[in-house]
Amino acid sequence: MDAILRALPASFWAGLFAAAMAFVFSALPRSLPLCFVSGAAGRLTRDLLIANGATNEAAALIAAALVTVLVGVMVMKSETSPIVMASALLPLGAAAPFFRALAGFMRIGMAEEAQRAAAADQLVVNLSTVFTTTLAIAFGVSLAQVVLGISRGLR
Amino acid sequence: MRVQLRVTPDHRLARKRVSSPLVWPMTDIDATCLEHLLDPAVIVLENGGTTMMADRALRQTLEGVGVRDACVVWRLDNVTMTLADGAQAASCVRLVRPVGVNVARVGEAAALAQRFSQGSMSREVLAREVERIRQIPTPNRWLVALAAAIACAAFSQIMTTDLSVLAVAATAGAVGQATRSQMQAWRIGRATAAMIASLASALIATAALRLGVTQAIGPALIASVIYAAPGVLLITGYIDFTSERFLFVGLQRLIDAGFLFLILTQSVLIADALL
Repeated sequence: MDAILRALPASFWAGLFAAAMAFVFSALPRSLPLCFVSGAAGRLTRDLLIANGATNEAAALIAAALVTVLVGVMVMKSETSPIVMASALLPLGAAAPFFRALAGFMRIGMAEEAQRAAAADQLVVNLSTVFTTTLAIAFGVSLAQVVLGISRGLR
Repeated sequence: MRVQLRVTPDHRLARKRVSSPLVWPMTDIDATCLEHLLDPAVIVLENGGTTMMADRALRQTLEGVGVRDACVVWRLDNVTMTLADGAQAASCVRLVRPVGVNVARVGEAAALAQRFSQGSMSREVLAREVERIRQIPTPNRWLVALAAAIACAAFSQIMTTDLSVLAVAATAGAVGQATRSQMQAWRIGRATAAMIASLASALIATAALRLGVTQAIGPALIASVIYAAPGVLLITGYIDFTSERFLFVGLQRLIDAGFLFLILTQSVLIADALL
């Protein structure tokens, strides 16, 4: 319960971020509540999984799959396009490590000799985080689409 | 001129034809018709949908005219489709404009392709619907600037619990997005617009940091430009990349996303150097 309460503020902001970005991407106003709910649910799932010992990548994969299934189920009931899922996945992404990786890459040549090894290490860690997190999201989406496809076929 | 049509009587696409014979008579093929059949898929691609989604839209549109198979080469800058029937083949090359994100157009184009596949729509109606989708307006630019402000503010609170960053990120995001919209209205290139807008946002964050509004340098600078980050391009790039069939388009999207991230990072670094 404590973990949920701790994760709730970030989930709220993630939902707001997803809905606001959906509007920037010209989503129809009626799809914004769906973006908010799925963005918040995805982030909450990710944070709870990490709090329970899951790796960042595993958490992102499961959360992305959940968001895709959630949007897939909700769009069947409403007249919304499933593409709104794109903005709901953004809070799971690794934008901050991407910025840090690029900034680190551009600064590494200017770093002093003694700090260069640490800077290189940090660069590799950030790049790895970007790669694995985004890949996990893509796999999560693909996995959920397969599941949704199978469930539609069975119906 | 967006369409180049070439009919070569001796050309054969044997493997494709044998596996799935065409039922659409080639005599029906003309440049306009081919162009209209590609339209929904091109709209999906141009507005940020995955290539898988664009491919599905094209297959559904072709189904609507009875074509079971076509040879399609997807790229982020153009799409080439070849239809073959007997000894005849026709190719159509469509340029793809720079990819942006407009989920309303993607959704409508995908739905249109699905409706057309059911066969109850004529090609003329398809052409009219395509034009309507292309004309779907983007929301009011001031509302988009407000949404960008909310997005930046929310992202800052995901990174840190410092509430003072919220106001800084919101202001920077609103000004940056308004600048970007104005650049787009002036038809300035996407990269240049992103550079100028993100620089404006990052400089506002720098000014606030110098004035001591907040001490959280990293969150303030990154959150101030997050509205312009190509997150959707990155995710759809990975989805294409991992789908195997669209590996090349996926790579193009990833390179494109990396380039845009690089532009934003340069703005952040310039602003950081002024601190």
